Amino acid sequence: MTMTEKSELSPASSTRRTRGAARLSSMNLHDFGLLGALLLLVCVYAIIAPNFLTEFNLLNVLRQVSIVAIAAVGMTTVILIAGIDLSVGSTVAFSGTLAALFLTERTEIGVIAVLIAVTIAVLAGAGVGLLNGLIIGLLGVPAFIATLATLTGVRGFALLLTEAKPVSVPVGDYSWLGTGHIGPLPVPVLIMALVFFIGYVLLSRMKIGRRIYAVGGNESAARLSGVRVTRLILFVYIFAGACTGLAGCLASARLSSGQPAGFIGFELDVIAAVVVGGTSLMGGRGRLSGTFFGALLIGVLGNGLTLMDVQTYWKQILTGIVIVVAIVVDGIIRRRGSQAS
Amino acid sequence: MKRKQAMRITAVTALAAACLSACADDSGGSASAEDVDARIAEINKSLEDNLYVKAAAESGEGENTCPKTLPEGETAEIVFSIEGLSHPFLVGQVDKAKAKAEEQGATLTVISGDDDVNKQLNGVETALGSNPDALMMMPANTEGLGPILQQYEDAQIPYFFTQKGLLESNATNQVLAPYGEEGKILGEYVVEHYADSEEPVKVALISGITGDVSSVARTGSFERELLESGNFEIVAEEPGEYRREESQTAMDSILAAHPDVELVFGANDEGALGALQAIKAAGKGGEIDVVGIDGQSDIFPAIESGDVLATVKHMQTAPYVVENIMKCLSGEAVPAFQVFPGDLVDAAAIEEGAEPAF
Repeated sequence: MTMTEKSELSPASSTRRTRGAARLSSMNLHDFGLLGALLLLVCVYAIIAPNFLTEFNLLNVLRQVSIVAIAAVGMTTVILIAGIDLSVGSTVAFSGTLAALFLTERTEIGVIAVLIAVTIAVLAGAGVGLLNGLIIGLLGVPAFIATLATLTGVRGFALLLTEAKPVSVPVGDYSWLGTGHIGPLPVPVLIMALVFFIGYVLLSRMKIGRRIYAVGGNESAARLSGVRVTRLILFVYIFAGACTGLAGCLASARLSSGQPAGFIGFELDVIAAVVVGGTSLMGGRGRLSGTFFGALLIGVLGNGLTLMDVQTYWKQILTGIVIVVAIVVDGIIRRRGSQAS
Repeated sequence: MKRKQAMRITAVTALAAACLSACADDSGGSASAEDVDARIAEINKSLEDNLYVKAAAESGEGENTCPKTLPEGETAEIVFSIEGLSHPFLVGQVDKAKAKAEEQGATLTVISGDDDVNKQLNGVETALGSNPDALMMMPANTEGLGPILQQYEDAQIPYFFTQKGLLESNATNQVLAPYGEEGKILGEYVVEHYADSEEPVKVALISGITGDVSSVARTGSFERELLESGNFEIVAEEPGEYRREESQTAMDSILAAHPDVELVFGANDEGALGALQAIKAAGKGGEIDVVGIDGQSDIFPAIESGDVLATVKHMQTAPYVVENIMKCLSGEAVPAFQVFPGDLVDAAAIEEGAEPAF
């Protein structure tokens, strides 16, 4: 993936190239840093964690990471416009439960029923995204508060649907989405690759991607340069919601059930992946490759600790430390980068 | 499999519906003999398909063996997947399981689901990669475990449930929580305690989570015991969600509607303690008897001071399962279901040195 972070709207065209180049190199540095950390972790685990370096385990990690990573594609776009989406966990539960409710009474689940269930989940997610976008873009409520409200509200809805009981889906084509393979690769991993490709095209190959970076970099400047900011906000939250809905669908397929009370705090895993991946919470800076490595780093960290029988409390503490270290290192790299120019 | 699942859904729905209609019933006023019989029949029906009641009925029966036995001189590797470690009861499960494993010379790897089904499933999947000798599970919920359990079956790794389980599964052994038995033991104690009462004793029930199997088993078994003795009248039933706050609120409204209530049942100790708070707030401390279930540490002082009559200890079952795993891996057959009810604790028992369950 290449970098297209430089703004088409930058007013001082003479300095554009040099600044862009400096930022480019600092972004690459971040990715290299992440990749280095990941490789180091893999090497350490390969030596000390039993059964870490097996095909079974590595594919397992990829599959477990994929649901977080898919939601993180949407979250990356949201954070790029200096927004935040706290409603992700509730939306995953809500969309997955809706899809499961559609399937639960069926005795035969064919391809068409599966496609409808996926569509229901994606639309449900997009619907929550639209609501977020409307509250933020039209009503001007800060994203943190708006999505905190939908976090609570959507969770309530999910619980209301089934009176908090999990809904099981007959095992079959639907659970293939979460647990099946095509060749050696797990299906959720392939879907994740597809979502990252769509995200890449959106952010790096389309005009709207440049506008997303521009709005995140400086919203009023972008507005003055003719970007329809409200529309863009709506689009970004709907896109993020759709990603989350898809993640919810895969999660319910994996669990062969809709879990209306599950995935509490899931948004924090997603935000952690994005932030460790180098996307700035201030907006305007970051990219999808970083998000992928961020999700993978956190996933691999947890997996190895599980294999080494490390107590769960320590896993949580170590994950916290990794997030802080990633941000601090990123800050240092960025300052070096801007000094170099 | 599909039909079984459909049947299970119908059973759960029917159960929930039965409970809802039971809760909606106005059980106030003096009940006729027919009403009591009808209510007993209703309880029997709601307990018919209850996992915990069924498991207790079949406790010790049936035999399963492990697909493989452990070669002589090898250490058994057991994976224990637990729903989370955020409650003293759960930490107790792990501590007791570890102690038992050490005693039996097995290694026990604990994987916490951190109170999230998805994370628990991740852990169980990861553990499959290390090819353990047995899996012991206390699931956050049992929906959707089918595919991963099938993978364990395919790998010839036997799996076991502790505390919570599944009726229709190929688990080698399940030592489940004695929810039904606990209600029954407490009910028998209460019946004996009021044996001399000439008027029917007015009882209020604070159940747990509406429709939840554990709450249905505890509350139903307790109520049935009382109704069958003929010496009690159930004047109210309210859900307390197993939480102190909610139970206190429930008791507040019960006291408003039935100020003459004489005994309150909490489906767990938190429920009993919540009811006690409401009773004290209403200035009726000492006038109304309270009973609970769990034997948690904060109910002990309340029993000693006489505020609470009795509780039943809810014990961790993981060590029994570890024992069964070791038996099974050495080639012995183990029962499909086992239920071991805990002891009743009243003031006399505490004087004799009874310890809290957690």
